[in-house]
Amino acid sequence: MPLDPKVAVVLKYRPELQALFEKINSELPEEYLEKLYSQLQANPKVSADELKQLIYSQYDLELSPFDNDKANEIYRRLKKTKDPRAEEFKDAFELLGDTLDLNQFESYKQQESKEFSVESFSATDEIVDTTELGPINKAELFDIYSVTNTNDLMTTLGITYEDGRGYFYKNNLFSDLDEAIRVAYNNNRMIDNTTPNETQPNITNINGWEVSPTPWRRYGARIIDLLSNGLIGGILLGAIFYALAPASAERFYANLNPALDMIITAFTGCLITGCIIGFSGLSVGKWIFGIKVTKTNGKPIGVVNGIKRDLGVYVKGLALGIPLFSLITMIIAYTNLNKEGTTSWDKNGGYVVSHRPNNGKQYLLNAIGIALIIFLIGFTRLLAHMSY
Amino acid sequence: MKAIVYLYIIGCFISLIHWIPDLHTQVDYLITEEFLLLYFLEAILVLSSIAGWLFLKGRAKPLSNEKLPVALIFFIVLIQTVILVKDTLRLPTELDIISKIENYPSALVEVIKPGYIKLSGTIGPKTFSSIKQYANENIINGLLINSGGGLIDQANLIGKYLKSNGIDTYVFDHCESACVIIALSGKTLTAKSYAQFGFHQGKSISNFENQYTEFIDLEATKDLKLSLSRLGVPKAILEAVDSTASDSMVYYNGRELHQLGLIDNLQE
Repeated sequence: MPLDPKVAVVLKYRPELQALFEKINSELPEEYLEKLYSQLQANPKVSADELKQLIYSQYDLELSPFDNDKANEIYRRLKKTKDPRAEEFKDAFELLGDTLDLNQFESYKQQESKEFSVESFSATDEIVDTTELGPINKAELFDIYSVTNTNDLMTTLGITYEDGRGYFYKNNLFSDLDEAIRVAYNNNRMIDNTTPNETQPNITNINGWEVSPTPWRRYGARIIDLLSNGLIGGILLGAIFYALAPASAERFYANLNPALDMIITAFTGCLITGCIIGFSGLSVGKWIFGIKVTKTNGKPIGVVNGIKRDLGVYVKGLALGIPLFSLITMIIAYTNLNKEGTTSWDKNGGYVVSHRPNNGKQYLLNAIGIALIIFLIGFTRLLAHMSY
Repeated sequence: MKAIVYLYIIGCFISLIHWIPDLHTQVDYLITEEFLLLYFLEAILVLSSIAGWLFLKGRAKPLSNEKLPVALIFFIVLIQTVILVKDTLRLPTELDIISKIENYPSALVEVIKPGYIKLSGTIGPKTFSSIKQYANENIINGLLINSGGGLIDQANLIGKYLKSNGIDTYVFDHCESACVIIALSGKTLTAKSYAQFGFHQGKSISNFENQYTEFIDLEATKDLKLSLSRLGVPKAILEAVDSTASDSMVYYNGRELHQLGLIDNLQE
C-alpha cells in the first residue's frame, strides 16, 4: 500500500511511531496498518503510547467477538497464529453458537504450544539480508531449507502461485506470500514434530570454518577470555567501587576471599566475553584458538544473546566459578560436547560453534595461546601477590 | 562538529593532568583556586563529551560500522562520568585538606651546633624543604628530633634523605607517629632509655565524615605500616599500630625498642 506523503513524514521524523508501525506491521493484520495511517493523517502529533493502546484495544476487541470465553480463546488463538480456519470458526460459531463442538478445535491448542512463528517474513525480497524478523529470519529459513532464493523456498515448502489468484498451500489460498510461507513452515514443523533447534540442518561448515566438537581448543579460548576479560572486568568494577565508596572498597578488597575473587572474576569475565562474542562472534581467546560462535547463517548472535549465552556458560559450564564445582561442570560439559556435538547453552540458543581448520597457522596460534595462558596465569598471580 | 572534537581532545589532556594530582594532598599541594579550576574544567570536559556522544549518536547510521565508534565514545564518556562523580564526592574532603595544608604547622630546622640540627614540633609541609635548604649550605651529621608526628609523606621524604646521606638521629624526649619513621631512618639511632616512642593508626587531616576521608585514614595507616615495616619494626608493633585508634597512642620506651634491635645506642 503506498504511503501517504504526510504519514511518510511523520514516520520519518518520529522514530517511536516508526517503531509502532513496524510492530503493528509484524503483529497485526493489514487493516490495522490502515487504521494507523488514518490516525496519523488526522492527528500527526498523536502520542505513540495512546495510539498503540487504541489500536491494540481494537484488536483485542476484534479477537473477542463472542459471549463465550472458550470460543473467544480459540478464535484468538487461531487469529494470532494466522490460521486460515479462524474465519471459518467465526462463521460456524455465529451460526451454531453453543451447539458447536469446540473440542474439534482443541487439537489446535496442543499444536499451538509447539508453534514457532515466522514473523514479518519479507518473501518478495530475494536478497538474503540480516534484518531481524523475530524468532527466525529469512536468512535462517534459507539456511534451514538449504535454498538461496524465495522461489526455491516456495518449491521446498510446497507453495504454488496461480496468476491472478494468489498463493496455494495445501488447497488454501493466500493473497500474501509471507502468510503462505508462515503457515507452510509452521505446518511442516508440526508434521515433523520438531523443535526449532532440531530443524537446523546438519551444518558442517560455516564460511570455511568447520563445525565439529573441539573441546580442548574451546577450553583454551575460555581460559584466556576468563583471565583477560576477568582482569579487565575486575579493574573496571574496582574502579567504580573505589570511585563511589573508597573506604568500603578498600575493606572489601583487603578481606576478599580468594574463592569469592574467582567467582567475581568468572562473572565479569563471562559478561565481557559475552558482549564481545555477541558483537563479533569472536573474542581474543577464541580468535587465537580459532573458535567462532554464530547463528546458523554465520552472523553474530547479538550482544544481548551473547551475554545470555555466556551467563549460561557461567552457571552451567563454570558452576558460578566456584572452585571444584566448576571442575565437575566442566567435565560434564566436555562429555556432552563429545557426545552430542554441542553444549546446552549453544543448543538452547540455536547457535553454532565453528572452528578454524587445523593447519600450520592454527598449530602456531595454539602454541601462542598456550604461552599466553601461562603468561596470564603468572601475571594474575603476581597481581594477587602484590595486592595481598 | 570539529569544535566538539577539538574541545574533547583538549579536555582529555586536562583530564590527564587532573589524574596525576591525586598526589595533591601529599606532595604537590595545590592551592584551592587551582584545584577548583581543574575540577570545573573536568566537569566541562565530561559535559562536552556527553554532547559529542549525543551528536554522533544521532548521526550514526543504524546497523552500520558507525555504531562502533559511537559505542566506544559512550564507553569513554561512562568512564569520564564515573571519574567526575568520584571527584565530586571527594570534593569537600579535598578542599578541606587543601585549606588545612595551607595553614598546617611545620617544624623548622634549628641549629644545635655546626653539623647538628634539631626538629621540634609537627612535621609539616615545610619541614623537608627547611632541611634541604640548610643542607644546601651546610653538612648535616645528626638530627635530634622531638615530635608528636605530622604528615606521613613528609616524614618519608625526610627519612629517605637521612638514609641516602648517612645522617644519624637522636631521640631524647618523645617521638610519635610519623616521627618514628624519621628516627628509624637515621644511619644510627641514639635514644634515651626513657624516651617515648608512640604508635597509632594514620589519619587524614580532614575532619569530614565521609567515605573518602575514611579511605584516606585507611591508606595513611597502610603507608605508615609499610614504612615502619621497611625500617625493621617487628610484627607485634605493626599489629599495635593497627589496633590503636588515631586519637590514642601506644608507647614503647627507648629500652624496649633497644631490646627489639631498633635503637643502636641507648643512653641512660
